[in-house]
Amino acid sequence: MSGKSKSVLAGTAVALLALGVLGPPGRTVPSGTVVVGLGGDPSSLDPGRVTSVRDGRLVRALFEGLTVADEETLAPLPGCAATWSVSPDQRVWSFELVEGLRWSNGDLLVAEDFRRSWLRLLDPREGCPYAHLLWCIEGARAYSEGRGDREAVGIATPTPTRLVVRLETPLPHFLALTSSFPLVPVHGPSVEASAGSALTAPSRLVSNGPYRLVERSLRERVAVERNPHSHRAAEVAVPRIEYLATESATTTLNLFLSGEVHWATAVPTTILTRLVEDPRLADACTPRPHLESAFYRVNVTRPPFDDPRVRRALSLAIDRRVLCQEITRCGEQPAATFVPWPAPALAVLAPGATPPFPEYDRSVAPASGGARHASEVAPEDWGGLLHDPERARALLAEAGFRVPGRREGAELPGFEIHYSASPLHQRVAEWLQERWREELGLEVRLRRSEGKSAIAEQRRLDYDVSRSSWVADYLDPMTFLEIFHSSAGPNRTGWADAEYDRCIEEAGRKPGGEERNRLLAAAERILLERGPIIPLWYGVTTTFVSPRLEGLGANALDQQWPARFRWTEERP
Amino acid sequence: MTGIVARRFLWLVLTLWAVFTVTFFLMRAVPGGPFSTERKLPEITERAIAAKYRLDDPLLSQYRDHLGAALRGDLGPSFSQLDYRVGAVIAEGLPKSLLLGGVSLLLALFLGGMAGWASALRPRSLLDTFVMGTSSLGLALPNFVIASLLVMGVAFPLSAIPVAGWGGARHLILPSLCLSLPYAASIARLLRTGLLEACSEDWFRTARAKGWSRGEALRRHALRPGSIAVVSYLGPAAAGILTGSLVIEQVFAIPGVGSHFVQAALDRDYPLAMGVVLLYSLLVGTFNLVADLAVLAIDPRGANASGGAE
Repeated sequence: MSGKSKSVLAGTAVALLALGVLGPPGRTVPSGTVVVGLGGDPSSLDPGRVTSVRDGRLVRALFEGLTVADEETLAPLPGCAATWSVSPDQRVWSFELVEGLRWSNGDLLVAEDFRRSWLRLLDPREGCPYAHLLWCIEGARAYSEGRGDREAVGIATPTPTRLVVRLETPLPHFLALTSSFPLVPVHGPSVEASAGSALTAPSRLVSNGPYRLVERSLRERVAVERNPHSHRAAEVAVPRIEYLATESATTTLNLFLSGEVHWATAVPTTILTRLVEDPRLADACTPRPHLESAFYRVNVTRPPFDDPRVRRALSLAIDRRVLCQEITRCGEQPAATFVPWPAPALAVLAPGATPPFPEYDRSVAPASGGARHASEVAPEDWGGLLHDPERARALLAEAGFRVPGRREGAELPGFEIHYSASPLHQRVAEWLQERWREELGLEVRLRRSEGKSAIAEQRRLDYDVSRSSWVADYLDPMTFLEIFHSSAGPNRTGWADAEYDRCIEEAGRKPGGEERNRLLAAAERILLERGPIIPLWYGVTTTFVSPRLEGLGANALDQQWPARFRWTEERP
Repeated sequence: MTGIVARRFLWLVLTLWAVFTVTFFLMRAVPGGPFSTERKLPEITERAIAAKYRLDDPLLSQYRDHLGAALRGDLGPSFSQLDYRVGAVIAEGLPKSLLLGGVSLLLALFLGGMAGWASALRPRSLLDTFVMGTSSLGLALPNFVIASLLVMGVAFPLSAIPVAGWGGARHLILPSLCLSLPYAASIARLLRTGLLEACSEDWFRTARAKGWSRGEALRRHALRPGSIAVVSYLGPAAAGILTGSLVIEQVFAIPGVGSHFVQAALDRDYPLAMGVVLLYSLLVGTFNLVADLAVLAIDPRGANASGGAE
């Protein structure tokens, strides 16, 4: 080979080496750092603009609200507010802030910061997605809808450390709301300076939580470090947390298996069932109850689904025990109610655990007819409560349709199962298609839609039967039941029931207690007996957590409070 | 030459405008808006958001405004990365994608060049059969399959090579290898064919008759004509490596622009999707132009033919 050829080859090799070696700056993760696989980028670090669970994980590291949720029970504990009190009519809440609170830049944090942040959330020009959380405050809704005055909103700061909030009507879960991530305070001067689109640079994001932002790199990572100005600085055991924006769940799993990620919040659903059963991962992944209800919506504006007997028949034809054991397989439990995790179902997955709504004693509408209190059902009987193909066929026949084994009646028209693209949803839809064909002789087709298109189609009521799920926004059965009020945005079924609406509205006016629970239970029974849903299962949280990472709570919303994380260098 | 460049540049501008227009209307024709989620927002909030991002303007007026802004270099705020403008998203990711693409292209050239040369040196030998067999495999296997095999076979057993991530030269090893292998395979085959064709020419046989070794004759007389196909392939290859990197960026968690390509469309992030589509169109157009100019430089006989074909 001549000198010229050699030099071409050598030049290529040298260029390669130079690019490779000098290219991306090398970095090492400081010792003691906890690395979290976040499953993607946060959509924003501005608490007023974020909505997703993923965003919430970062907001809870960077900010702190009036209260913080207990990592096991989600009960509100003192946060920025040291104490609080409520008037006898449950309408006026008064919060006393911890003395000497500071922002991460050293500025003093006062009650006015909360007031201004909440008013910003309500500001009609801001379009903050969670503004409606504060509509319970006097004058808030009118201001938020551009009809009222900012100064008329019932939030006052009589002293620099006292925040007084006047509610329109008593709201049992108002205190719990104050721990939700949209209600944390934001630093006024930096938000104004950023003009709403520059909270990207660590130097500009001023926060008040246990951590402060030190690095943000799109599609790569968000790094936070202990905030020395936080009143909890002494309690924070992990000095630095890195949130990786790795989108692929399989890649996150690979990073977890190689020890580079300590908590994988997104896991590959296609192989999850095998992972959960893998003894090597037994320590790392324990499915826990999640306040999620998986169900199918039925479009009641399309015959024959306008007949509640047809809807009920579809529901009774399904053996949910088989669905959970053979299809979902990650610890989900058969649903016989819409509000998830009543005691008998919980006892199967997490024996001894307290149900998320211990005081809410709802009744179920078993296949055999009548109503039973959920608490009276034995755990082993729970899964089969809504399974009675015989009764399902009888209901269809009663509605005037032909069923297997009978010659009379009209043929039930074929229909479509509509679902959003995901391997699990596909498997469930195929399984249901088979069940309905076998048990009821129905001709069922499948229609798969991409995520956002599926939501748009549901909103237009462009479906027959459509896959859905609902996760609690707050810790109260109302968070589930209110979505089927005839005026609720997420209803998306065309279903309206005056009695149901009345129960929900009346319950909404009650400050809590037995009467409210009775109204909610009555609403749920209506929903199960003649509503537009086919309940399927109660969801679980499946994340992978290194046994060396402690302090993650087993709560039903998988809300974690990073200030409580502990990292052990050696495996215990 | 200047005429060719001017004409090609004009075509590039027209192509970009066409891409802008088609993307603009296609994105908005897809059902589901950027801010529609499972949790339906109150009407008033939805209207406020639409007004904030001017999604409530008439479509043609939106088109006019966006085209004007794009001409000034501003693609607007991202709808999925709410703290960023599209320009900033691309500025963060593009250098990383270019670095990965650059290393992969050089690696493809190096591996493909060596393999093609070795094959042409001893055609129909055992080595030639092996190289051509391997390159067929490299072309047939999708790069995400190669990626999975490398993660299982290399990264897990060797702790020095990370399974994914970004942060040092070692993070580039597996992704650039995955990305380059199919292109190295093509380059090897093109170079081998080009060199062997040149070998059948009279001037090559004359060179051999003068007593030169096969290697010497190949290098002196066949390399230049034999590599024209490789050089003209480099334009589409460079573009392909960059656009193909979106799968590799996902698998190896590389924070480049590739991952936005699909995600922005799924998120209905109209401005970001527009930015990425325009960026790739620009890159493909530019690489093809550069490759064509390089071919002209190697073989000036094509200047007239190429000019006529435009």
